[in-house]
Amino acid sequence: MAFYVLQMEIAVVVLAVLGLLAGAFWPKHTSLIRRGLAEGALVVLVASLFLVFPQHHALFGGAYVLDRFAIVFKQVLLGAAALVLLLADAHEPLRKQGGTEFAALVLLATAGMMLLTSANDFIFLFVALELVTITFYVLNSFLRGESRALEAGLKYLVLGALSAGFMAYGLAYVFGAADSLNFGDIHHALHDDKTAQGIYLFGFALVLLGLGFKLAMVPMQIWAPDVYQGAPTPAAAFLASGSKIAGFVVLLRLVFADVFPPAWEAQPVVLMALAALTLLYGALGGLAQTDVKRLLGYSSIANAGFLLLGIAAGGDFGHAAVIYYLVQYLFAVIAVFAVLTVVANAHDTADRHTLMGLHRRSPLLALALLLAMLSLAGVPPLGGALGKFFVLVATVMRARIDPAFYALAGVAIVGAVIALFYYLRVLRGAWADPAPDAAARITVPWTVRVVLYICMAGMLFLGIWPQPLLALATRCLH
Amino acid sequence: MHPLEHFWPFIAFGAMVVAAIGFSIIAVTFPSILGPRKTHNEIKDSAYECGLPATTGTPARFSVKFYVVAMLFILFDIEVVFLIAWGVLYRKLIKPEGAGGLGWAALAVAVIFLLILEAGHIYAWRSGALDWASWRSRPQQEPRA
Repeated sequence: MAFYVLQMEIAVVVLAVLGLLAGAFWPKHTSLIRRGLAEGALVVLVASLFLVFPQHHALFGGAYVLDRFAIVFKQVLLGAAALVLLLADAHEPLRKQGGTEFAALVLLATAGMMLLTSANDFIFLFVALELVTITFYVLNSFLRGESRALEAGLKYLVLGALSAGFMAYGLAYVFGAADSLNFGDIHHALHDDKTAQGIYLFGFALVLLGLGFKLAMVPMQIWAPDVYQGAPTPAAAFLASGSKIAGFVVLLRLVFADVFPPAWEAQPVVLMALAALTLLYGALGGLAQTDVKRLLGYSSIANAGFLLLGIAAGGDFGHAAVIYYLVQYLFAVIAVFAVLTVVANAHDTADRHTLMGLHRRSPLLALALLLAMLSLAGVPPLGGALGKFFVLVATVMRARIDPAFYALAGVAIVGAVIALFYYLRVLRGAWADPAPDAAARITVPWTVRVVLYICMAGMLFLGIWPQPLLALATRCLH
Repeated sequence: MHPLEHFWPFIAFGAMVVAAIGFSIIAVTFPSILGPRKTHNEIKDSAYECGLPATTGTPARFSVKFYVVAMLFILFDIEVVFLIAWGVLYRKLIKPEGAGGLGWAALAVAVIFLLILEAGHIYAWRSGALDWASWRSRPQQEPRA
């Protein structure tokens, strides 16, 4: 057994366990330990850039594969975890609660996501997915004194359990139809067998529903606004970045391994319908929101719609566009949550009034909010604009073969325009409204400042010079 | 051949289901129709109708601290299940690599697994989950004269 293939995951788990033990032995130095864990995650990330990985290595009877696609996303997820850990250290309610458990749980969730990027077997996928979901049950309700956080945790728990049930039920049908749960075998097993293909379609639809919970895809999207609003801001940031990226990586892996039902090869009608519904739900639902964290829940749904559109459109360019979109989305969404981590009130919620006059109270935060919101809305020259553009290009390319995609591209543009309205409304509060008299200047902790600089640099870099990432994304596909 | 012969098992099963449902309906409804009316008063409704009057409520109360103990017990108990699979195959696994086993690696994986468990145990211990009362809430002992 070549366990060095698993070295990144092992390093992260060891880091988490050491963090837990250190927190239990030196309860007076928890802040130091928490920062140490964030730096440890960064060290693993930097070290992984210099490691030479074996190409196309498989472990556990083919259930775990390590290819360039998996490695790149393991690094992306580690980066997201490091940023979130830095945020968690600056978050006032979490600091008050003390302990290193939050940081350790974030790292354990990261290990689960990193395993997900390599999953090549439905059972492995299910176990890794549950590792992520169960840690998030705790992370979302970590501030157990806040009724909102408990509500968020409960809602996530109930829907998470439901979606896990859907998935397990679907897996039984998948196994019944294909006689194997390994992604590599399924395509061949279904060849020319109409009955098995029908059963498989049903099973796969259930699996997709279970996965849709992670993605905030339309039939399973209902939790997103409530949980984003109630969860501790760093947990919500990780939910929006890491958890969503891991979900889409799994979906891409299912596409690459030809695991999608044969009936969808000609025209993925279900996926197209889900993409359109998710886009519109996210765009329309956000219009009436006054709480910024809640708004980000709807924004997350709308972005999931765009990503689903890219996957439905398919083709090499479509998949590369999805990879590009995921990376730029990470910077934008973490930047917004970083601003909210500092600005949010004692109850850890942020209605529009908390942002009023932000440009006077802290120019850095206001600038970061401006860039991040414009990137989410898709305004050039930021990463978000190109992400949306690439997905639309892929859709139009597909539409030449299949005209139904023109309609989808139209829906996507309408959705993006509607979403622009609510992103800009947040910015109006931060830049145009006068600050309340009582509001003092905000001092930004250095950890948050580091996060903001990294995110702003990422958004601008990806918006101005997208070629390196796009080339990397294309190389990931082969 | 009787025309219903193929269906005989289904008929028997259906008759049993009907009989079972019918019996339970009868058992629930008839006593309340035919039986004597209940009388309600404080003595009649007490847990022990004759004997000393009850001084406390019937549901026994126990400390909420039990839930941590119960949770830890289940956690560490479940881990044994993983070791059983390893233990059953131990004789095969411990053979040298040439003979179809894993050699020392077979032992090493279980030791690593147990070390992770032990880390959890130490964590629970240090963070006070095994103490009945936390150190801070314990009454300070009076210095002896």
